Amino acid sequence: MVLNLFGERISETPLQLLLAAVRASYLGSVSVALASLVVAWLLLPASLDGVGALRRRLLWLCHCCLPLSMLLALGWWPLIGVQMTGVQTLGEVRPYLEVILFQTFFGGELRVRLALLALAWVLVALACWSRLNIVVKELRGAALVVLALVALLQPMMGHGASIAPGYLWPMTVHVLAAALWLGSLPGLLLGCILAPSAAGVMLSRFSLLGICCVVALLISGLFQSAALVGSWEALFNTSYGVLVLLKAILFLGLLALAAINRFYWVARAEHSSGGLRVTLAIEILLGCAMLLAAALLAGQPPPGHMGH
Amino acid sequence: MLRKSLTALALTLVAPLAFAHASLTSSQPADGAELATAPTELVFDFSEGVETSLSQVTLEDDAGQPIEIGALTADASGTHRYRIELPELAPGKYSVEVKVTSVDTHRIEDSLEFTVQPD
Repeated sequence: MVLNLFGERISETPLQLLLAAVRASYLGSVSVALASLVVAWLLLPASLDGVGALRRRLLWLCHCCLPLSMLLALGWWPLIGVQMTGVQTLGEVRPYLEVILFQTFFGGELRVRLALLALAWVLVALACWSRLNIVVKELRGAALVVLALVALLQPMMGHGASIAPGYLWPMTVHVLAAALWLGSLPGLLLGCILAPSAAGVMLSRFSLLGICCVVALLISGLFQSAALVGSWEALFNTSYGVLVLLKAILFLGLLALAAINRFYWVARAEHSSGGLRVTLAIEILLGCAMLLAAALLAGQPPPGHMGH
Repeated sequence: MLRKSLTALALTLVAPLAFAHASLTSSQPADGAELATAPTELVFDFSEGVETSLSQVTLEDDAGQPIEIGALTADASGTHRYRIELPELAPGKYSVEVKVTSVDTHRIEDSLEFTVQPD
């Protein structure tokens, strides 16, 4: 199959890479939106220098990520349409777009997701600018729950749509834990830059959440790997298995950096946050690579039985 | 080991979209079947659910002429079984082209042949 994108003839490989890039960017923006709210509303100390400005920046970051997520979800639609219909160009997929949106499982998921993202956007805006202080907590809680739901729906747009229900829970837990952990990193880095005096407290509070996420990622990741990869041979000799290995290596790298932060830099954060900033920046890069690996996995056939 | 892993990683980047996630596990008539009576429907079993709205199943006779058939519909049993009603078929050889999309958005392409040969 040849995809004629932007007037140039390119093979199907770029389509798959483009899909992975859009999927990873989408997951990244949803993760940052969700975790920015968690950092702003749950992890920041109330009264330290620079915290107010930092909270406003985090909420602004969330406000930028939500429409970006919607745009990426919309961009995903015609690209996945090319894959679903087997047509050659983006132009040819146009007549199928309505069918895909209204008559397929993917389309149903997409509509629910767009509605939830729009709802989250409204809730965050109301929570930020509401003059009715009495409902701010409820609005914040609702926005967090709605965004968590968006993250939980993620696996349903890939292999999750066709696996046995018992295998879906590890997938959804995995995505939510990854979204909270990786999505918090930009907010934490921003905190180290804008409010260094609050960085120590913020990171100490993040530690508990981080540990919970790591444990959840580890257990759900091992469960999924056992089910979807199926054998040691498949782990080393299939594209899917190698991507799982790559993810595991990146995970270990992230874990090592998180441990360095927790046990070395956090204690020194109030005096000098330079080292913390560097390790957080490296963590963000590793996190992006991990999201890309996860997005590529969604386009590969799992060698395991998937509960069929 | 390292070379195998790098090769598999490289293959990841060039793997074609048709690298099937789902597949046609069985059909009635089966591929290569010789039937004494003409079938009244085609029945397909897939390893996953498929999107009937994006399915393209075509039937051709041995002269390559397309034959109009019904739409792919899900079986009432709720499994991954799908059916297509057929018109009355004359004796001869028929080929079926199956192009459907699984619910996890991947394309499934397969083909089969059967012959109607009354005793």
